[in-house]
Amino acid sequence: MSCIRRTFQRRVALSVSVGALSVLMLAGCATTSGGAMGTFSRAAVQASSALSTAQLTFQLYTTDRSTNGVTDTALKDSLKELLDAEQQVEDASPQTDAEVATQAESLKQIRAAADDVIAAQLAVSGTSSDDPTQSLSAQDAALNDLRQQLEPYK
Amino acid sequence: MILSDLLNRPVLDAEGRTLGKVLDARFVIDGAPTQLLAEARLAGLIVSPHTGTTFLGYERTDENSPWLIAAFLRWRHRGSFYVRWEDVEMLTERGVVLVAAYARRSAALSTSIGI
Amino acid sequence: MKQLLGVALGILTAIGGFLDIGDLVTSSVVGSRFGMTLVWVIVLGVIGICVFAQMSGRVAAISGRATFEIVRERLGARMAVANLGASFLINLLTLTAEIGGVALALQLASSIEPTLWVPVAAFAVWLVIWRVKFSIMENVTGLLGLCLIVFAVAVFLLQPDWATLTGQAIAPSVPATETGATYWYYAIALFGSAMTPYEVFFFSSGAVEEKWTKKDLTQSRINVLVGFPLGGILSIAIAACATIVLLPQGIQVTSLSQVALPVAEAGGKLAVAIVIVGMIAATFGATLETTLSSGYTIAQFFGWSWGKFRRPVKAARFHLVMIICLLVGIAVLATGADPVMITEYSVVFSAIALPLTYLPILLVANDKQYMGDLVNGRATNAVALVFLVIILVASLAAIPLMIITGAGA
Repeated sequence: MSCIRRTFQRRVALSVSVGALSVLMLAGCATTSGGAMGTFSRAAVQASSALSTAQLTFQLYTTDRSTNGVTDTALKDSLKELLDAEQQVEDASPQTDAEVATQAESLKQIRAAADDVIAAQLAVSGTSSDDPTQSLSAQDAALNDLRQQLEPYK
Repeated sequence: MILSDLLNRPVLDAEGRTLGKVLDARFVIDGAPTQLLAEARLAGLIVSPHTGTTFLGYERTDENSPWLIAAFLRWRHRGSFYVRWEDVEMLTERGVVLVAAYARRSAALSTSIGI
Repeated sequence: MKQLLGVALGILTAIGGFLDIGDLVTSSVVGSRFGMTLVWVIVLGVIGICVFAQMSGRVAAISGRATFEIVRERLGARMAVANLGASFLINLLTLTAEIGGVALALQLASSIEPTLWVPVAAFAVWLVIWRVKFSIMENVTGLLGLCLIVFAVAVFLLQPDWATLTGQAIAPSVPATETGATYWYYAIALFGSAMTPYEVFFFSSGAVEEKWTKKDLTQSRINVLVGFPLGGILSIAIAACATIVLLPQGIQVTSLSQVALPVAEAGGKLAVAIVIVGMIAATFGATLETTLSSGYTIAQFFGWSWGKFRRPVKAARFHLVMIICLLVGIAVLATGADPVMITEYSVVFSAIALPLTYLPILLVANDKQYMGDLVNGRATNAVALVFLVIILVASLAAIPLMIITGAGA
């Protein structure tokens, strides 16, 4: 009898852990909803947020309002977010011509943004004397456009 | 025998009618003396007719607050009672069988010895 | 005079101790995405934590025993296991998030990778727990945590449009860029971050550590009822900073560095330096508290001797549990898991486990056998029951919302 109960307890424990796992998996699945265009749209939001962060960080740095530690870290975090967005766009599998075009366009914009963040990092470390302010804000505007364009697919 | 052999088992009277489930076991510490405390001796069982889920300690006193929770649990466990271990005839596959002349006692803890 | 000082010190440490990585991240994320529209949740959460924290402090002061010991005794093993399992696992998750938070804050100060800081931070935590007196530990981290007041100062320096800010806060609505599901998901996250269970366990065990008696009840009430709401105001200030600076630029907070940017914008380098000290102190203090809580819960459940007031050799198993928990935290962070993401999960899972933590406290605080005349009054019970319903709803809604929103994406 106690044996039966123990199997029962084991079954409960098993179903609880299976439940918890499936919740996490479902939560993961929800982020892949909306097909390839949905992925591009979310990546555009992420990239746009990351580049705006880099732009703000660099501006605070040039106006001498932020410390080196915060600047370094925030730029590094922005770059990480951009690379993550790039990865997601790369991993998506486009089905139509329109989706293929959007994928190419998204990759182009996100990679350009990543280049600008790296330029900002070089400027902060003193390795380069180029001022990335202009290209940061131009690229920020471009990513913003992309984000708004893809907004309906989110 | 371990406690899990008793908890949540059906309780039957001598004629085999179901009285409820074992909710809790009550012990008294009056056995052979050991280093720290005397050994515990099983004194009796708390039986609840409708459910084997927890009573959260409300069976022990007339504690009545927070009122909503106390009232809900009292209702879930209405008719629960205490039987002495002496009133238990035997343990079978079907559950805990009581003697024919078992006595339903109050489930509340009394301060006097011999509950 | 000395008494007044004691009261002031108690309040100040309560303010500093209220904030941890969960509040820092969640408030900022919410501010950057939803503006001030979720501030009501912070207010609700602060009221809740006040009600239950003062309850568990009272239980400890009157009975001289921590909540968990009594839960085990009064509610029986089964309920206590449920309570222990939920509290302990959530606490371990929170502990991991806090160590990660210390590492992230140290990265802001040094530019050195957080993965390298994790073992250093964990070792420092262990050292403090092993060697430093309880009251000193609490007061130092609490007072340094007060540096986070910079967030409140920053709100004023940023000269925001007050009408819009208060308008959003008083008449909340879901922003056009977000869905209702994400709004409620973050509402639950914010609620979980304010009502994190470890605060209550820590509070009651801390009361035993500091040998509170009936005399200290007034002091403890003031600490909670003044300190926690002021801490809540800092939480709101963090959200406001993100609302003013980050939201208009479309920046969604995903890292701790972004939390500091509005302060830089408002107050420059000095403000940044202060905020980093505050972040380190708050996360370090919270790591100490969660580590101790892991020891408290396990030791109190099994009836082992526990407490910092005993020499480590007299409470060996208590200290061993804490060392193991710290090692687990280090191991999880060593996989490269993002501490900010761990934090976001930890606050939501806190919300899920809340009923299991708070129901037992309510029952114990009502038990005359332990509390004598100082059981909960009717008013406290009424408020507590209302909160229990809110907690239950939040707990049940959390998992479906997590699935629908893809964890708030």
